[in-house]
Amino acid sequence: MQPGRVRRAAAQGPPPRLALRGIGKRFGPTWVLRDVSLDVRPGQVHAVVGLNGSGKSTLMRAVYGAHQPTEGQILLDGVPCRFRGPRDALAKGVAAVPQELPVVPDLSVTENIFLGMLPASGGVFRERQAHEQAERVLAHLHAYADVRRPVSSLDLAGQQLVTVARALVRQAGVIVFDEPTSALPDRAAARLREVIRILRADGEAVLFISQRLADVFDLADEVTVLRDGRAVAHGPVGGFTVETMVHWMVHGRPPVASGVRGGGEPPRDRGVSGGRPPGPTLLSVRNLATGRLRDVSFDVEAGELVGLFGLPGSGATDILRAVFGAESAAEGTIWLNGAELPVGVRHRIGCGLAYVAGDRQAALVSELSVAANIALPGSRRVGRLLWPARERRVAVAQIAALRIQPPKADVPVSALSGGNQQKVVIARWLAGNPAVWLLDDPTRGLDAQAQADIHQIVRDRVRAGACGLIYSSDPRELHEICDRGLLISGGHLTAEIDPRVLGADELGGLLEESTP
Amino acid sequence: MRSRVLSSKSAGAWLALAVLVVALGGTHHDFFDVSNIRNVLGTNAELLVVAAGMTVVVISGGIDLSVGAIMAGAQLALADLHGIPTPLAILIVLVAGFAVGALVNGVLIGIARLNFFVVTLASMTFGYGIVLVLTNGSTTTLTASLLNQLGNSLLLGIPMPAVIFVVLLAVLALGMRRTTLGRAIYSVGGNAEAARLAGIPIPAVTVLVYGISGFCGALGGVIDAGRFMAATPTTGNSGQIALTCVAAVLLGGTSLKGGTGGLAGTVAGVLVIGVLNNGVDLLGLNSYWQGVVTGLVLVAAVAFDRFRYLRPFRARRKVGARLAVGADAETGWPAPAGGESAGEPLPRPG
Repeated sequence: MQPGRVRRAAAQGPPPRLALRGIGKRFGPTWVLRDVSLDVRPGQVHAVVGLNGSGKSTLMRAVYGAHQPTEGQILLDGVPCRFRGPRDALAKGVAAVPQELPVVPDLSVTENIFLGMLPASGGVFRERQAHEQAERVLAHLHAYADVRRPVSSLDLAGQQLVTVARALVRQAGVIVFDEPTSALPDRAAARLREVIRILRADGEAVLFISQRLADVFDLADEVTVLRDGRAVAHGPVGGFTVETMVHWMVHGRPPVASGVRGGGEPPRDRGVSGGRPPGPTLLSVRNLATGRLRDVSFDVEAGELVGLFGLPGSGATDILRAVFGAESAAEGTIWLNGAELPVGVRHRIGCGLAYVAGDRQAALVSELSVAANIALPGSRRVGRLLWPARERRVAVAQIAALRIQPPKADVPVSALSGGNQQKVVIARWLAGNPAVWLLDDPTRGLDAQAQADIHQIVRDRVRAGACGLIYSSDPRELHEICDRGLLISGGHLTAEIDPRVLGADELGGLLEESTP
Repeated sequence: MRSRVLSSKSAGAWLALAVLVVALGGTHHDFFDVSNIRNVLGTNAELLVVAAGMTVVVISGGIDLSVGAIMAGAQLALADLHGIPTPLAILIVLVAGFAVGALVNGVLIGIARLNFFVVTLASMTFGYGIVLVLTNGSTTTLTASLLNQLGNSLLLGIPMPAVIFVVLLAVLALGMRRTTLGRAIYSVGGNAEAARLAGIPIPAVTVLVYGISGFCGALGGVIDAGRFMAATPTTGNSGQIALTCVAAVLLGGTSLKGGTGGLAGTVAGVLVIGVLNNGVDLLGLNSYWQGVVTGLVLVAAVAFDRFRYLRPFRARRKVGARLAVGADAETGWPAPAGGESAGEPLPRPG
């Protein structure tokens, strides 16, 4: 007997557009999803929340056809459906805005938006009309891009908007958003929330997962909480508070008494070492210039975590990559401890630089094991022997220290959830005890727990005498953990700010104002 | 252990090889003759050698079409170096094979960033062209006794070309699994951007990869020269050998996308093709059928791989059943069927 069936029958409102009945998904021996049932009615936003690894993404993929559920049924307007793949789901009226961006980098923005359904007459692509339509849809999202240029010319936020636009032009009855706002700057995220409200008013059924609980409370009508692959709680959003929702996500049950705080938010530690005396200058950057950056100079002291504040495309990310040596056309000089850094990623790693990208797909070799991915920088010196036993030992130690799940060194890294993959990227550098941490949106798409873990690791390292530079797509994150902030706009370093004095909202406003 | 073997990517090739051997051995009693087995090993050793190098290239995400031309060039060099001691001549030829692979293919692909297909297609065409110009298309007979020993003698009853291959295989397999270069090759093929951000020098790795392939091509050329005691300008079937090697590599479960696979699979892949061709001989069919059969097997193998890819956990289920016992306690992954809250109505907040 499926839990909740009686209740569902009694529920009010129009019949569900999309209904999941007892959905389960098994990978090998492991059930990542078990017996999940939920309804999404027309004109309703249904949010699915849960920690990393709770099965949210798997559930979404089952809904839009990227996974076949092992058991259970998907009903569209009451009719059982089987999706052979995302294209098939799309044809049947379920569009997806997935977490990892399936854009074709070399095709134009227009072609990506209309992928597979380019407007044509008599087999001839109606180019101008397509571009106009694409521009209209993007304008609807407050995005103004040259739709004729390849989608690879857009930054991450722009590419995400393209996938959102793609779902919009399909006019599907069910739209699945998988972490739509996690990679967007605040203004675009607000606009996207607006778009979702319009979709709801149009009578679309919206299924939505997000790590940003604020978005959930802002947007959702109904909420389902997943924990360890099961739906543990479910009801109108008004029945939850932030605390009860977090408690459900973490413990799978409601807080015991109303006086007890659920979830256990970590104490807010503003800055790594508030009130600390100035340390010696560790990193000096002078006249850094790349294709996007102009004449950027700054110093970072030992024990200091410096936040780079900037909108996507401002050049904040480029600073991190250029300091790491990953930008081929970078000019300028960088000193570490008074010594000028050599050119190239390989030598800079040797000097004690570490780079953690938010784009985990770019940092991990999915075919290799967790242990091999942790040991990967060791292979930058070609022509040495590998010692599998030692490699494993290092990996096991890091897995334990960072609480990577599952705690296995030999599984392919692709078997891990996003937060755990990100920990693997960090574990890679920890053994070398780097002096400079370059963190490029390191917690993008991670849940609160994984985010707190990663912040803790970075804090510990910086307190131990390293220094850090961090960019985040969420200025609130920088507000929380940085000692000092640099404001980046249009490729220039425009101001130095104290993120601890300014509130998160003021920081957001400052970013908006600083854009030309 | 048995399950691991069955689930490995080369399982299909080993299975096919076993089926072929049983079928041929059952219907043709001369298949298991010592002389026939020696024949299969001897005739396929040079293909094995060249395919081993090709495996390294494919794992790195490329293809080397020029191996046949390097074989032919190596033989031409052997013929021209008849004035100096044979061991030295062979050494020079092998080093030259590495150098040509590294400095022509490797530099153009790894440093000038040209497309590997175009570069190796061009160097193959150019190489065969040069060899034909210099030899005027004619075959030179070789006389050095060392070459004859390399190509046609037996060591402990095993054909010398097969012995040479086993040594090469051991070195390459250790290199791929137990050195940073091998790891770098896997990671460049699997995710070049990740390799770059881990500090792996992709240009240098690429140069070495095509050097290894060039070395294997030259070694294959030397073995071939020894077997026929001749330097033939069309060695490697005028370049077809590269495609046969790629077919064997794919048969062996190494993906053209790069980053996965291994040398063991390629051994199975080559032997499948070799035993099939031997079967065509034993059945008394025209040898023109060999290409037809090889093509069919290749399509079947790739289809088999695709089928497994669509159901990725089918072959692993046995392992899984064993692991599942303590899985959730150990890993913290979701509990399997019948966990604590099964059957209870969902609690409703508020």
